[in-house]
Amino acid sequence: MAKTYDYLFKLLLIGDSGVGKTSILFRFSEDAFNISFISTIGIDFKIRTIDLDGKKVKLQIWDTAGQERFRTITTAYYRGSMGIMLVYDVTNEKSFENIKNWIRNIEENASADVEKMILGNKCDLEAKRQVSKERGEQLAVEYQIKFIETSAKDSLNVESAFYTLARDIKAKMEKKQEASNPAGARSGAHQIRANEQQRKPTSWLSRCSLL
Amino acid sequence: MDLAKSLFSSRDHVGYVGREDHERKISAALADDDPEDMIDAIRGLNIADELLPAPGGPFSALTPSMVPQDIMAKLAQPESEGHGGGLPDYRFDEFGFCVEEEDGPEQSSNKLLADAFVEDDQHRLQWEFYSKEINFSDGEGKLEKTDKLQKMVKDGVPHSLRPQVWMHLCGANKKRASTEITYHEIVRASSDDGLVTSKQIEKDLVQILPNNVCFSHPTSTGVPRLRRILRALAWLYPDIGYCQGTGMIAASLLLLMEEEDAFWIMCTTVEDLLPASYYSSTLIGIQADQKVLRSLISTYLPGIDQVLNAHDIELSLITMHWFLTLYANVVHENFTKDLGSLLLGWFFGPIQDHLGHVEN
Repeated sequence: MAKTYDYLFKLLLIGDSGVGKTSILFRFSEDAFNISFISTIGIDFKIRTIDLDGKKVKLQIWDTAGQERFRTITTAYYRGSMGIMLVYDVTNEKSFENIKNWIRNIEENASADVEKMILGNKCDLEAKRQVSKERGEQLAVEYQIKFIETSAKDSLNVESAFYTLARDIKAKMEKKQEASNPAGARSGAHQIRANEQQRKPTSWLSRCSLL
Repeated sequence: MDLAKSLFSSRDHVGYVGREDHERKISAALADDDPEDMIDAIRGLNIADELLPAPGGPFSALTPSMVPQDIMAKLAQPESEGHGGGLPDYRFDEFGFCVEEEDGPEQSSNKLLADAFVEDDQHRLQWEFYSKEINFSDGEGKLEKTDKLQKMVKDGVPHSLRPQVWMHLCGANKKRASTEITYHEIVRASSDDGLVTSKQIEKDLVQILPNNVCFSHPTSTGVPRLRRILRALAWLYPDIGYCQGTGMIAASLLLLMEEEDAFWIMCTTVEDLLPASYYSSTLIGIQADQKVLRSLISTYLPGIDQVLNAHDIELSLITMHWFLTLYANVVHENFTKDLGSLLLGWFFGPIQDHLGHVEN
């Protein structure tokens, strides 16, 4: 089967319920905004292929339900994701405080080298803001994670957030490939050795090397 | 505000307890409203008392008490007061779902689907006769799985008879008759606002079917009913509490049947039809079914298996909510209804029979 892309990246959106994960994804995949969304039930996903430094990168983005009930289900997807967006709502203090819990969740369930990014969404609602941009930045520095404020409604920074995360994954992956495959060997076995933390290393790394 | 309160509460509350509390909520919801919207709503309500939907027209497939009278009134006089009557840019289908006018293909397919609601007299009579024969209303009635019934279910249940037929086939009538506590009592016991589950439910009520006029707004006709059913279920099954998928099923049922019937079908679904722990806090039943489905696909549908592997797609990303909502948010409403007959009446029927034998 002919592939229409060079890389496939799996990304995950997590955060408290109602922070706008689905809206962010809808903005990125359809370039639209809808004030009333159906609550995400369990898990959902969207796909968009972007062009990154001349390579076609297919992003498979998983959108998770915020309801506590689905936590056991959604953490099962952490392991397979290469990048995680942690989303909070700048008008909801609690959702910001919970970012720390979400990070702990990632540390317990995702592979150690997963790329992360923190998004402070709904930054268009300046009058209702409870979390300043500085506090977001501070938290990001503390955990050494990139941070950006977004507005799915006004289409602010959503595009650049996904591009940044994808670019970071790509850079990390190419670096790793170089290190493990200096002679450009095509054998999957070498890559498994270099990426033991990845549970299913052959599923995406071998694909990348075949291109 | 008082006027609005009296107008809304007179219709969307059918005599269950917690009325004052409910009115308080409505007035709070109204207070947040755009005043213009509210005036529109009041004007709409003043115009007429009970408007009936035209056959095959918007709202015509809804159970009559769900029909949004305010919007019916606006539809009845589109030219009112010179500014378009405040009608939105979209129209509503038989179940009250918003259909955007620009959705060309959707409209034409709707026309095909609309046939589902044009009932054939012969067909209806056949079912009416049959329902008398086996005495549907009798709660003790044993579900006899005959070839005749099987064929009739496969041929479809007339829309207007669906509530009765489903109630009987899935065993909800029996459950209601054999349960000591009444729905009324359960509603009274579960009307506590302070519970964590109540708060979760409140957050979700207008996010379950936001594109349906019966559930799009805190004052919509279906919202108080849905609130009572979800709270009642959470109270009745404390191990389950509130799980988001159930809201979708309950809301879909409420579109075509009365609140209490919908509640008993929900009870039967959760307790008898679905495998154990489907909606429990671990969701272990749902997760197990995903694995089973995946292995069935590998065995019986090699084509799909190949595509899933080639694109590295985790199947449960697509299918989990099919199971959580029993397809209520997956296929078109009209098909769901037929699927509902099959799911409730047939596929689960044998399981239920089987369980019945085990119990005896």
